[in-house]
Amino acid sequence: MATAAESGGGLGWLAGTAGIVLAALALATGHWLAVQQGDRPIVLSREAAPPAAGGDTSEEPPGAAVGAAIDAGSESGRSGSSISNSAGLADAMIDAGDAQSGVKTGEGYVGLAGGRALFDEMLTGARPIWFFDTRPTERYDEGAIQFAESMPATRLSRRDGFGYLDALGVGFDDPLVLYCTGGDCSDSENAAILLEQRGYTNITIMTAGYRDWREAGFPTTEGG
Amino acid sequence: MHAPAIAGNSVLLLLRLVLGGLFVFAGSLKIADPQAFAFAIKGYDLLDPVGQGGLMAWLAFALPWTEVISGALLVVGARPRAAATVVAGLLAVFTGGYVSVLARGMSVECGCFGSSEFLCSGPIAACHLVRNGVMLAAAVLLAVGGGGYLAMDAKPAGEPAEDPEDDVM
Repeated sequence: MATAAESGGGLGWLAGTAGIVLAALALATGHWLAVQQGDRPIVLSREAAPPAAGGDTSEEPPGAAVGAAIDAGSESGRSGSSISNSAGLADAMIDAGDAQSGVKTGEGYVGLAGGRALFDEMLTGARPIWFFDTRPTERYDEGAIQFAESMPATRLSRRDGFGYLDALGVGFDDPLVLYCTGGDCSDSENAAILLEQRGYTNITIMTAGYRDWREAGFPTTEGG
Repeated sequence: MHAPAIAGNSVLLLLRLVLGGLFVFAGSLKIADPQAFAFAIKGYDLLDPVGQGGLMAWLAFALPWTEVISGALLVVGARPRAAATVVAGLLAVFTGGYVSVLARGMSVECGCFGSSEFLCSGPIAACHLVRNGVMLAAAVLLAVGGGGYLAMDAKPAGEPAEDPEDDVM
């Protein structure tokens, strides 16, 4: 079998390799610039996700404040969560304050008790609170929080990803509670980034995931 | 042509088509949904999504485009050695990412085939390392041995090349 050295094409091989890489990077850069200047640029953090024009950011109830306050009162903090309950309360207080100023609204993190409080509030029907399972659909099908809708973060990143929310009738100001597996799962955070980019303003991430919810004996879709 | 040379060229052709096809497929899925691949890159926790978000977003385009172009060249048999070298480099980078994730005890989806899975499912595990190792071996074989039958380098296996510039882009 001929080797590159045997063929005497060492320089040609190097030039070919460099040419392929340069061509790919040129195409990629052009594509990247086009997307970043479009209506849905790539965003990777909530700080970098400017709200879209579609959402109404005025006078919206800070749903996270309710849950976070309950969390702070009933739990001492969760190891492994991206944000502790005390930090969640601080965020909720900031959110409440920012809701007045119109700078930042409705963001927050809650733990298990806070999530349960929001779930109970959803059951009363006093206001439309939506629970969304951001794990892959297969995990949702195996079991999910009762009445939660499946909304994998990967679905939202598609161009038509928000049609599902529109079909459900989810309002831009409705409180949305996102959860994934728990621990260090990132699906909820990623979904929140895209939802905020779209203009949804009242997003709460339940850092306690489905695993904690089920272990606590809270209502799920498992077992009928 | 000797029987071993025929077999060698056939194997190289098969490797080229399979590996190239896989890379075109994987890259196309990522190009179709760069946001999802950017999240996958973020999941490796190697870059800061706030301070280095721009770089991560650019990588979400650079890696798949490199996959698609090198994979397509392998499939059509143009510059097969150079294309295989690029593929080998990509696989080395991806495998390094896997090792990093496993060493830190993280549970991360590889994002290699978008939301699809090929041979390995679930978070990154030993299966992904083995899969990449096999593909890396194939890429190295192509980079050394050429593209086999129907490749534009047109060097029959077992025979030295006549034109030293035959692989110049």
